[in-house]
Amino acid sequence: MNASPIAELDLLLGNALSEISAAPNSAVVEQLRIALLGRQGTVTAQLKLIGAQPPELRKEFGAAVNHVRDQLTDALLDRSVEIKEEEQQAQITAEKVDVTLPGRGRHKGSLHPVSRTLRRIEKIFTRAGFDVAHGPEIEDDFHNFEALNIPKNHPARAMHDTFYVSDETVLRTHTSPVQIRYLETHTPPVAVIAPGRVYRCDSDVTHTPMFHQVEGLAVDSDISFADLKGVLVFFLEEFFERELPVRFRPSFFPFTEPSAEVDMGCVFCDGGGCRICGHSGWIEVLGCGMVHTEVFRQVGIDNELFTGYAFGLGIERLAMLRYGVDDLRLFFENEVSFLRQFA
Amino acid sequence: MIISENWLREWVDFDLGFDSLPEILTGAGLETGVIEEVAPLPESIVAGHIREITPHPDADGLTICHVDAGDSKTHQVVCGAPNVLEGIVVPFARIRTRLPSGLKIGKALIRGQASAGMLCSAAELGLEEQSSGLLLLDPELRPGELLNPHLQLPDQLLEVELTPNRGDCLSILGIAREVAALTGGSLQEPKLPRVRPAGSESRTIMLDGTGGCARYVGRTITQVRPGARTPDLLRERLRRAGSRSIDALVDISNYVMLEIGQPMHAFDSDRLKGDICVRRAKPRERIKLLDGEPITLDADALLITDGSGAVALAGIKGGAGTMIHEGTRAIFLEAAFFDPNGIARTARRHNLNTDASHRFERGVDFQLPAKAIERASALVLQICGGTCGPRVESAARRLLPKRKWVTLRAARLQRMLGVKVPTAKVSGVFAALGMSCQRIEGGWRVKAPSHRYDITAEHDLVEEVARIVGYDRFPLNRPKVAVSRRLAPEALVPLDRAKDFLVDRGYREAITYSFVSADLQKHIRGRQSAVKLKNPISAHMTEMRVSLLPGLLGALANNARRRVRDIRLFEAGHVYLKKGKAIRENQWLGGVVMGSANGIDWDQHSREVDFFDVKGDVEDLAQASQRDLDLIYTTGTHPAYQAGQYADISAKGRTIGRIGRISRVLLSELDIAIPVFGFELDWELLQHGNIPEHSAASRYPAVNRDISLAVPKDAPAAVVRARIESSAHSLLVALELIDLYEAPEVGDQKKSLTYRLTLQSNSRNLTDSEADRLIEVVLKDIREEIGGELRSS
Repeated sequence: MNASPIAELDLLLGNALSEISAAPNSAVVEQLRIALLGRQGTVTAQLKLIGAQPPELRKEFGAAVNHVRDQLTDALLDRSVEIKEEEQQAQITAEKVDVTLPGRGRHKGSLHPVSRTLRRIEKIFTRAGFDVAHGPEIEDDFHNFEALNIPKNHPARAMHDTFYVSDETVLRTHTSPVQIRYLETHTPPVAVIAPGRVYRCDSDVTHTPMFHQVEGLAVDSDISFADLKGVLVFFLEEFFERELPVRFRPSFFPFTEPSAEVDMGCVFCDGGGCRICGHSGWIEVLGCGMVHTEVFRQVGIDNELFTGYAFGLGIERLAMLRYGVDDLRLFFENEVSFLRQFA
Repeated sequence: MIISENWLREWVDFDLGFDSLPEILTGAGLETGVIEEVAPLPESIVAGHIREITPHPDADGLTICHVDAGDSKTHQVVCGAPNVLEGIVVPFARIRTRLPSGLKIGKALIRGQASAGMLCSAAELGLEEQSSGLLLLDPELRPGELLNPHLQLPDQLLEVELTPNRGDCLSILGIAREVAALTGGSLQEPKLPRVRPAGSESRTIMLDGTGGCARYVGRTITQVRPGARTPDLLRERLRRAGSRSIDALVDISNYVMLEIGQPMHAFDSDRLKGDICVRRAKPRERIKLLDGEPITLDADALLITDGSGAVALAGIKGGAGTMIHEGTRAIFLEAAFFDPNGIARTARRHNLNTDASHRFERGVDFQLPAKAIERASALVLQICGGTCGPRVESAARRLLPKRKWVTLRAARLQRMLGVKVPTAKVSGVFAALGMSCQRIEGGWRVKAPSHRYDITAEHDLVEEVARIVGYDRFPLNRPKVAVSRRLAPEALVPLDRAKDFLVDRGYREAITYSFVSADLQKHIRGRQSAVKLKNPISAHMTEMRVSLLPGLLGALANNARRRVRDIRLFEAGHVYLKKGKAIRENQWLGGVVMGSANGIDWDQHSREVDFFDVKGDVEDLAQASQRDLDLIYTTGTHPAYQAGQYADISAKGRTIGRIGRISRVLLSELDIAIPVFGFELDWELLQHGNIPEHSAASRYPAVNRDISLAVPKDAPAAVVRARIESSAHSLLVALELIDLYEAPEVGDQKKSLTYRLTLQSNSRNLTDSEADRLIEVVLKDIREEIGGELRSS
């Protein structure tokens, strides 16, 4: 004898649910959906049979078929969500990489320590209101010497081992001629620094025939030695990012008077004395002074209306102190083993 | 200038320790080093008189000396010195003495002969670097006399580095003056016995009046003892000052110079003929200097002459013919004032830097010559004996330097120093420095003493006050507001931007010398002439670079020698171009690349760098500097580069650079074995960018069309591109070359270029048929003007 229609439904539901839960992927789930709930589907066929049931069974059968349909709809949905998650998980697993392998970046180059140092110097002085100017490296005798109060045969010329291009043309021995060129074209007040290459006919362990200087010049109606001291102490503290003892001691430059050389407390031994500072605790870092009246006279500035200061510092020297470079010549050998240390 | 403490204290009485001087002098502008000790000798080294010597029976070259050391017995010492003699006085180290070298003297048997003690050389006492025999001591020393007090040991030495303005400090006297002024000590002059001229020998002195010599003082001293020896202390002082003992007469003139600063010269008077005349040289006049070197002079040189001609180059060096020698019996002493500039000119011209010229150039006290003659005469009489003639002097007073009154205004002083210095303090500074000083309304009138050549104007007095008061006593003003700072124009591209770009692209910045080897540069400069140095420092640095390549390639080669293979370098710096007589300096930016293009990577093949890697860097650099800059690359030739892989770069109608593969000739000069590519850009031209101008982006969709064109093989891609751009005109918003293909199926003399055109209108949707019509126009132009045709689309 045939089982009751209700029992057949239970059987259908049981079989369908187990098929759904065993479906391996979303395509099979979709096939099952069509086979069960599609237009030709088995459950759809049962729905069509509701009306054909005897009236006393119709209500009960209808409820049972609808229950089966709802159960299967939910099961299909659950299974497809489950499968989607499994598939995503499988994809993620398949796409896994070894994150510890090196990246495919291009190798970076490096900025020369002289450039790096100069950028810092320029930043500090431009923040204090200085302009940046440049001048020629092949310079005439007038700008390199004469206008700076270093006449021919002055003993100070012996302090400069000069490269000559002709009797009247030299490779500039310092950046000071830019002071003159700047004052020839600008009227005070001025505040300017002038960085660049300079040349001395001298080569040994502590000298290279070319190196870099930064010249500084400020001219205004009431600039004093106290302003000069202030700006240089400010500079050194900014540059070395710490407070330092700074000593100004009298010296001689033909183009400034009074003139001073500036020592700072040795950054390697904090003034205690070491090899770098010659056991004195002090390191000479720059020369400076009040602009000489003769220099103003040469460029037509009235000494009664204006006063000014000038200073000159060596970039390599500061770079050596800042980065611990102990051999000046390394700067110009351009070996990768050296350059790569300055990102 | 090296200063001995014992010598200095003879000239100045001050209360402070010698070790306080470095800070005091440095603080006043006389830079000093650290103090050097001259250690005392062991007390057991005394004066020994050699009473008798006998030859060593068993050894040639050794002698047995019987030494009297002041005690009751005679000491037998075996000695190997060549200069041992009976009657001499030498340092005798008693038994158990430990010499400065650490050697301890014991009783010894030397070749069978007993030896108790040691006779010493100067080197063995640590008084000289090396010696060739026993140190001969003053014969007046008593046997057994202690050597330390005799030689003024111990002593301390201080080296003072003097700036060129302080010639007045080039002597013990000069430093003593400063020490007195700075410490409140008192200057004193050690007395020497007064010289009484007993003879009449003399010479007339004539000055030619051209200004070279304003004062000349001389004295003849006859009957000096030939070959007199320099006393121990004098020689020891010379040695501590860094000067070598030569001969008693020469030593005396050096000693006086070191002591009071007056350079002197001693002639052999018997070799001088007639009177002295100080005059300018005749053109091409020659003189043989005392070191034997003959030089030819011009009419600017100043000479000391006698009846026979030039006997000395004034203020610089004596002549050979009249120099002091072993047999000299009469001398003529000279002390003069010479014009500093003239001495400097002649010394510079003949490259002669002597102790005398060094001082005369910086200015020697014009009141000093007579005093110097007196001190030297006294020493000559003391050491060599002799009879002094009268002191003779010739002077052109109008040519002597004048000391003017200089006014210092109190207001100016305050304005320069940024602080008011008390009036009494200022007056005190001038008094301490030996300056005449008068208070006037609002300031001071000051006159410098004759030894100071650096006080001629108000600012010199400001400096004197500042340095004596001490720079550290002045206040410090923190920087105030900006004065004249102007921001660089926005359109000007900072060089730092370009440098950063290259660094991020893997280039390392190099800084190479501006002077290069002419031999290397000749392979690079072509017809461009270079600026040559008159006095190059090395054969590799003879002329100024006209290109950045010599330096950059040199740096590559330097690294290649150290087996660094993959490297990109750049440099930003001047090149120096000579055009006729004019020299132009331009800021350039250049780079060189060799080795791998992409480095070593775990999943890519390493590829060697080629032209297009470097070109990509240049293109992107230009873009990074300024958007929309069109660089034009034109096939060309350049001596530094390989033909066929070289292009001139231009923009806006001007040549701005070059790019290519470095020639094999150049690389073999530098021993570089692998290809190198390089570029150079004229930064002066490239740095001018523009300020961006916004235009509204189109709201309508863009249409892409790819076209593959078969074009003649030698048609430059840039020409094809330019043709497409002008044909597609305003609707073309982007054009990219997406493929280059060369194969038989394209044709023997053809290549295939595939471009992607992006078309877009600002005002409407572009229809397919519009795009198609535009492509037709492009293809027609390509066909007619380039001889290319469509392969497929």
